[in-house]
This record gives sequence, structure tokens and C-alpha cells, in this order.
Amino acid sequence: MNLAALAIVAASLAAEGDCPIEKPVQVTMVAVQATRSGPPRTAQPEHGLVFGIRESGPKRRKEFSKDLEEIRPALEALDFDVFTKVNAGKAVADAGREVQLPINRDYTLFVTPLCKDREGRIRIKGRVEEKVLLRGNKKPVSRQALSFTSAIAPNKPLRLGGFRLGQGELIVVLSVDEYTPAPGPPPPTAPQAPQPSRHPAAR
Amino acid sequence: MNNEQLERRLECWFDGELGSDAEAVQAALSQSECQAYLAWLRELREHTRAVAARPAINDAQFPAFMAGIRNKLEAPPRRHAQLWALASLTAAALIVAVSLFLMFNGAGGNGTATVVEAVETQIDGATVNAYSSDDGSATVWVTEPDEEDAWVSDTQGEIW
Repeated sequence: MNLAALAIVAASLAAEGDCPIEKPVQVTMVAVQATRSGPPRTAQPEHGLVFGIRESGPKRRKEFSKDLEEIRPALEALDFDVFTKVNAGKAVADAGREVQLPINRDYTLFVTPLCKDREGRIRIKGRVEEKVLLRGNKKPVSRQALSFTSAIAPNKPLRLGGFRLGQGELIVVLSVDEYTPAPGPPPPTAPQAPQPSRHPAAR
Repeated sequence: MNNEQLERRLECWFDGELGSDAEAVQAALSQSECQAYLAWLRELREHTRAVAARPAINDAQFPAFMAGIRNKLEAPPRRHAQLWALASLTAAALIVAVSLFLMFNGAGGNGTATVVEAVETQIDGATVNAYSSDDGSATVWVTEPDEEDAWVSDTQGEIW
């Protein structure tokens, strides 16, 4: 009887359940414009299939801008040829507080850390809002291009893509980690000032 | 003389208790029934003799006899109860250890992957798909329709 009671208590302790985030969370975003120099090598994957499909045709060399070396592994599997950095930013937020990371004048990323699960993944909810000018309207309106909920593991970024951007598509590489303040002055929470792009690709 | 009386007289004769009537019994012995009854008496006597003698305790042995009984009664209990207690304690400790392992093992685990739990879009006609990669990362892809109901950006696609 006592053993059964102890087993029940132990099973309750081991039961699945989210844990609150004790430390602030740092959200890192890198926005990239991806373009193709030729036709798509693979058809759009069907719902539920892994995106990376081995191509059967001749390989085209992929080009990455110099400041994308850090996230290059997260982009290589995508079916694009040229990757150009659009913007990057970091923000620190407590659980339940939303942070805003501007991508460009049309797109903005919003992220809200929720909690941390037992596997060490940080659950977030986020959305990508875009400004669009609909026919018949004089002013652009903001709409939710994408809203999502995800549990992001350490060193396992989340890619958000498919948004129109000039001649290519916008891809946002998102990673979330517990914020550990480095010794010295705290880093700026606002995203870096965007650099003018050299590529003529534009809308 | 009826059969019952004859049997009684045969038994007395078999036990050597007839005395002067033995001659009368001798005459009856020629009968087959009497022979059969005598054979049965002989078999009964043989089986009775085969019973082992019961050990008896005399007065001098009685104190030692009681001491032996007392020793058995006061003997320490068998160790089976301790064995069950030890097994229960071991099982409880194992359950606690496994529970603690499951509770704390997930923090910073290397085998976890990023997962997408929910996706949604407000773009008319667009579809959203989520994929998992072998390296543990995840991708959410919005596929917009080819012809959208008016999309003109006032920035002319400028990239910062």
C-alpha cells in the first residue's frame, strides 16, 4: 500500500508539464532575401514532406553574402541560389512580453516567449505582419502574413519563409536562447540599423 | 453353536484361553469356515506386531524435552520479512531515481528538435506548411497564391 502510494507520487512528479522561464530570453533574428538564378529544381513539397529533397539535375552554386556565414547551415538546404542579408536583430524579453523586430518597411516580426519545456526548448508564439496596399485602398494596411507557435531547441533555429520580397522571397531565421548578460554594458535591445543593400533586386 | 459363538470360541482358542474346551474347538477346525477365520486372525496378529514401538519420555527426560520445545518457540524469526522490506525499499528508491531522472534529464538535452505547434495566415488563398529537418531545425513556409488581389508596396521593394 505504501509502495503504491509512493509510486503514484513519483509518477506525478515525473509527469509532463511546462516549466516557467526563470531567466529573460534573447530572440535573435536574421532576415534574408533568397532568389533563384534559374527555375526551381524541385517542385514545392507537398504538405507534410521534409523540405530538403535531393535534386536530380546539375547543381547550381549557391551564393551567400559575407555576413551570413553564421546562419549558412540553416539556409543551404533551401532551394535558392542567392542569399542576401536584409536585416538582423536581437531582443531580450521576459516570459509573456512581446518584442518587436523590424525586418524592413513592409515586414515586422513579433515574438512572445511563453515558457520552457522539460527538453530545454523555449516555447514562443510569434507573427509576421506585413504592410500591403490593396486595390482600391489609398493607404497600406497591416495584415498577419503568418502567426505561429513553436518550441525552439538550442542551436536548432526556426525558419520562416515564403514571403514576397522583390524578385525573391523573404526568409527569417529565428533562434531563441536564455539570455546570459555578458560582463560590461548590456547590448542594445533594438535591432541594428539596416545597411543599404548592394543588390539591385527590388520590388 | 451358532457362528458368532463359534467365532468367540475360536478367538479364545487362538489366544490360548480355552483350556478344557480346546478339544471341542479342535473338532470344529476341520470346517473350512473355521480355517478361513483362523487365517484372518493370524494375519491380524502379524500386522499388529509390525506396529513400531512408540518412543516414550520418562521423567528424567522430561526437562530436556520441555527445553527443546522452549528453544523452538523462542527461535529468531525467519529472514523472509527482512527480505521483503529490503525489496520494497529498493523498489521505492528505484522509482524515485527514475522519476528524478525523467524530471531533470530534459534540460539542455542534445537530442531535442525544434517543433512547430501551430501555424496560421491571414493571406487569402495562401497555404502554410511546417517541416522538420534532419538536423533538428524546423521550417514554416507560406505559399502565396500566384495572383493576389492587389499587392503594391509603396516602398517599391526597397531593401534596407
